[in-house]
Amino acid sequence: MRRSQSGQTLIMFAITMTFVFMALIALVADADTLMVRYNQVDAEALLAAQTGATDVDTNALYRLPSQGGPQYQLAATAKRTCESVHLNGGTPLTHRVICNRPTANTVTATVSWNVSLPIPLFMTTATVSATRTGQAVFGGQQAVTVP
Amino acid sequence: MTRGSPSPLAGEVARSRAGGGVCSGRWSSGQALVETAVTLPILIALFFGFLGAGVAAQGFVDLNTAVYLAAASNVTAPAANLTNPSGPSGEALAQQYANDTFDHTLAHDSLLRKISFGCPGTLADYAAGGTITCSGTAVLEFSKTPLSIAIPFDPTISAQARATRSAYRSVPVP
Repeated sequence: MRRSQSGQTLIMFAITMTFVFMALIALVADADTLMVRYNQVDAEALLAAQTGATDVDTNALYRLPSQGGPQYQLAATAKRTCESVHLNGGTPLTHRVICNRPTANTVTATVSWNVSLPIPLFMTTATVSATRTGQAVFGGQQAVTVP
Repeated sequence: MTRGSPSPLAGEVARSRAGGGVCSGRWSSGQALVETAVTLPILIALFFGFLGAGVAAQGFVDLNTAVYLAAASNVTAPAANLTNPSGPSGEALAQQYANDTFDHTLAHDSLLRKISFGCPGTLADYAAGGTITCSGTAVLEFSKTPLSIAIPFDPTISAQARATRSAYRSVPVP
């Protein structure tokens, strides 16, 4: 009886530790991948917001005071300009940018990426997302004071 | 030898079994040493591997940030260098902006060594509304750290970013 039980703990310990180490390796690899991907979507959101913020409505900017100008605001195409930013990696279904204009002179870009995890132990994919907001910019000099 | 009296041979066997226990204890202490010798390198390799993965991820993040900031810097450069007409052209100035941004951002990570960086493009790419693609490559120098025990090579990593220039770029007033 004793002889048949000897070594049981060793086997249980070996099996348990195998799962523990596999989980640790998966955790580290997945966390590192998500960290790198988050940084990328954050940088892409920054560029998208910056690109959208350069699409100034020049007609409103140079409108005469008698016509209610000048107005410092983004063009109607700012959303489309913001969404034209190039995204590296993924597919259009998994890696996308959505822009909107919360106010007349700001544009907000949200980049999200449904990332495939390198070691799919706990889950196969995870979504990282970053949002950045840009204010209208026009060259090196500001035409009017932004309210 | 009378029936009922314990056999001296039986006593020997019993002592031998007891001795076996002593022998087993000695063997156990040896076993622990061997087990430690086998598992310790694996544990150290795992530990260094985890650290290495973290350092590599940080390297990727730093390189990516440097390339994206450089691309953003390139597209915000003035269209022409009117403050110094004899200096570099608008395109060269944009390249200089990008290079300076990339170099100074990369300098924050002492383990990254620059291999190459550039934002190649035609004149149309550098014109107002043009799109520029910047690429950067660097070596992640594990050899500078104790991690080189577990990771005996320096991987080369690269990143790419594309940025769109403003359609209404102005020039600085001289």
